[in-house]
Amino acid sequence: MSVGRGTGFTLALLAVGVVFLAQTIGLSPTGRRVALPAVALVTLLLLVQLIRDARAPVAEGGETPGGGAAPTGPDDDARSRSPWRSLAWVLAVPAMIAIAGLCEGVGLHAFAFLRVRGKEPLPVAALGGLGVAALVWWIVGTLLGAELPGGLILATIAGG
Amino acid sequence: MPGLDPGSVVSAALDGLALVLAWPNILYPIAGTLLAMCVAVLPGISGATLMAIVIPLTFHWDTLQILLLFGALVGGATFMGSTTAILFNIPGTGPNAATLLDGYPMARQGRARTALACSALSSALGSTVGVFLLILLIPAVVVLGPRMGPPEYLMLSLWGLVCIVTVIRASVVKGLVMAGFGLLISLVGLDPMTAETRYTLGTIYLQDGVGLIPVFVGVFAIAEIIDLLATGRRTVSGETDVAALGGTTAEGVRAVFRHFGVFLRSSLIGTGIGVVPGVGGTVAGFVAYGEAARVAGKDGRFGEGDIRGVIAPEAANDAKDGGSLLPALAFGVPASAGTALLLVALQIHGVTPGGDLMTNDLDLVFVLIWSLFISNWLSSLLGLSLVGPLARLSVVRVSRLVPPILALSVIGAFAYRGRVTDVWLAFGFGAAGYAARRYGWPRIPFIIAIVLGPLFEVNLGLSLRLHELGRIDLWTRPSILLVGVLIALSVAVPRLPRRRGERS
Amino acid sequence: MRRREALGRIGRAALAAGVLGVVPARGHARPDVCDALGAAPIRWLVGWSPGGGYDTYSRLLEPVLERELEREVVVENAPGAAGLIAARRISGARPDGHTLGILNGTGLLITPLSNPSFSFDIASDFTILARIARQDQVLFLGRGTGIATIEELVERTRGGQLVLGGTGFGTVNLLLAATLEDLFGMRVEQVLGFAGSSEVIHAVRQGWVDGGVISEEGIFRDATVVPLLRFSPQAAGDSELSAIPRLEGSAGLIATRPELFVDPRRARVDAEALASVTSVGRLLAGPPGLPSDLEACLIGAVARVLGDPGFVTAAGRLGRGLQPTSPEAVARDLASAIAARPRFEAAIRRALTRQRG
Repeated sequence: MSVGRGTGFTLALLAVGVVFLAQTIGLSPTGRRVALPAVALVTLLLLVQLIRDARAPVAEGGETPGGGAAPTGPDDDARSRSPWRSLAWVLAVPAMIAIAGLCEGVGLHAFAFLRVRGKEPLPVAALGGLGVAALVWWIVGTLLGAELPGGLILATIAGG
Repeated sequence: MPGLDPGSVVSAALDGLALVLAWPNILYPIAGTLLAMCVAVLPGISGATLMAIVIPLTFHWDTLQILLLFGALVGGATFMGSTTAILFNIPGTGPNAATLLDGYPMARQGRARTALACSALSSALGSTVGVFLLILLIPAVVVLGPRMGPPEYLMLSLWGLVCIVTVIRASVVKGLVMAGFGLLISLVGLDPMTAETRYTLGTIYLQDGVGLIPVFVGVFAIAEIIDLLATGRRTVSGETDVAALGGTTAEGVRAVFRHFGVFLRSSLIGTGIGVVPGVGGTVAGFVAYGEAARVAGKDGRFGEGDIRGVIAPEAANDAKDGGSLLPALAFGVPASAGTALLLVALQIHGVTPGGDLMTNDLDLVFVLIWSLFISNWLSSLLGLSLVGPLARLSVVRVSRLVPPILALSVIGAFAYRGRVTDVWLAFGFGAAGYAARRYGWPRIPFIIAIVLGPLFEVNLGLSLRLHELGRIDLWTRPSILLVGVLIALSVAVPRLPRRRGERS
Repeated sequence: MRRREALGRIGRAALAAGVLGVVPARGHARPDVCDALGAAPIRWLVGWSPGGGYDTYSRLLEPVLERELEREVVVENAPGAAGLIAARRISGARPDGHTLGILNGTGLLITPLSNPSFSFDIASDFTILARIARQDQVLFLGRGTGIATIEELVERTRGGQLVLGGTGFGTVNLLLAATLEDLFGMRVEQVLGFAGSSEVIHAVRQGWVDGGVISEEGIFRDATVVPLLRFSPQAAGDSELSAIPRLEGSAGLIATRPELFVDPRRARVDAEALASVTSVGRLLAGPPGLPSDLEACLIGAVARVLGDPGFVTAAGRLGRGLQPTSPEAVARDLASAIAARPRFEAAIRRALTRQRG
């Protein structure tokens, strides 16, 4: 997997760091006792990293959770999928939950994923979607006795 | 609290053991373990949730039955929580989180069997070390345990934070930035000392802080799913046939003995943290992990499937369990929601924690400890027998695995506090965690700092305040000096020439 | 004490296992029981984790309320922000009687003083069904301090300092500790950040702090701490506390020992205000706007539950005091508490400034 320097990500981290810094300044001396040194260090090191990024050549190889090089499996699919498409597939879950509700959203996403991405036959995808929705309902709704959040659709129906 | 002589402790321990093993009492730990194992595999349902459900059913039980069942509920949940951590990068509960750091990379390398077996055995042996050390040390612990206070917690968290530096492998700058962010995120919410809201962006939701489980689920499980999809990997292990999987149960079992030093040190750390009142299992797992990585130094491949990264947190977690019952029962200071509920269950029956319980009813304390011990072993042995079937999950096609893993992630994040906002947060951290992984920003320092940050800040504040008021003298406490020396060694030892041995 | 006769009860473990299954649906309610209430289960929200006082009260209430209303009652823990998250959910729920819960009335009243973003108007944001208990707020010291009475405390610390431990801001004990300074002319140094009241008591035993202010009655069975003064107008049904002097009232400390106070006249007003704020207590509530027949039916059912002998016995065994109070009486208490609250703004501000450095 060939990866870029991720300067965009470093800049995003720096932006987050600056937000933290701005909020830290307004805190009381006790409230910022640990926060100020931490945020100052973070911001400084991010600037150092940006300078390094600008000087260094583009890095190669993926990373492990620990930050080292990941071993590549022998049968990894040769066609590298787009990270953006993968990200979109995963972030579709909260979107579906927001629209259809916790139980229904997860089930619908599972169905769509199995059918479109997994290329499963319709009955398998439908069964998978139902199974996943039932799992959420059973654990959250029944075992934990928590209220299953409804989505926008339900809110619209209830409101209208 | 009056002192206890070692003879009476041993005799109470034997009485307690006889009570647990007596028929039909032994059925309680067995039933409790099975119940806890079934539940622990489901994310979001912790041992504490199970206890809350069970408490109303136990109103008419007697004290012995409560102790027998609750010991098993505490003990049975630990191993099964590690299975989802190893197989899918989903920590069932906080204490399982450190196991995924190396357990999951092992599963990715097709060594799930080794990791699972090693985790099961480390748990069982860790709990054994914990219980026997406790029997030996109860007289001393009863006297010294309660003297541990904010300065010692502060040093403990500092030790863990120092170990972060040694976990960082790729880039020290990136590692420190991630640790810094972890620390900052751990400070989000209402400052307990000043009532200031910090980094809440004006929301009520963030006033209560960023939840650990949603962050873990996001940074590890969800980020991993994005990566699995983006790399087009067919299965978690990369293999499509069980026969092609490397690693065996025997290898996992042998690993514990091959790295016996890591195991023993982690068990000691776990027991030590356990007897300190009020510190939870998540801290024990991460401190032991950090220490194992520190000692391994350049020999380690921590974060990349180093088996010592599985042994350390598993041994520490289970060694801690036995120890942590002591402060709960002797001083009434629970270390976790689980032990807090145990105290509630006991108080229903008029059993008040404190000196009387430790001196007059020490056999009952041991009933609880032995029940927990039996449950730890039982769940580990059952776990060992499940290693094969569980490892099969690592050859299931990713396209079929993603929907249930996403569902379990959603459940884990939501069930933590029953808030759908935690689900959004988990997915936000998932996207960020994926980017961090992709661009080589290590996630382990981030997670360790999130776990230890609050312990560090609150106890820094308490220690300084108590020192300023003249209530404690920070410079004359032996425990501070001891941990201080440990920290100094942590920094110095990796730079010394290492003798050979303990390679993964 | 040997307890080997366990076999007869093992079936209950199997019953516990049954919890994992689907909760059996209940039949339709009898028409004469709360007609206005639908057949769906009632969600009972608790703003704290399992195991605490609020959770214990709720889990004791659950089976009795189920029987009384003939509806399933599901206790849901929604911890966070000192109960505020659950309070918001109760307040914002549909007024159909299917979302109810337990509130820390005193906490809801006091928190805005230190954290203005939390502001509820308890009277209009909820439908109060009853008060289940008042929280007895008690000042206690460690036995190691050698102080056994409030008189001794005042004598030994006037002009000096008293170090009290606490869990954090937004809590009632902070307000009480801050007010002690004005009442007795001692400097009260607060050490805040302990994880819970058991950690505070532990710190007291170790001599790291002198004492604290807590509301849990059970601890006074602990011989290592000495309760000195009650702030609430009446005891929480715990006879062990009745011997401890109260601040206000005809037999209170201000009436009997005015010389202990810096300014007895001011102390009297302060004490009444304190009693009024702390007496709001733990409330059982639903969202505002419940239809009047439903409200009446729920109030009646809750009142019967709070008087149920089985419930009262179970609460007693757990050391959980009960002072069931009607919504009308709670409304009167709330009105006087809201009027009294501004009196404490200065004390809270002073404590905050000192703590923030």
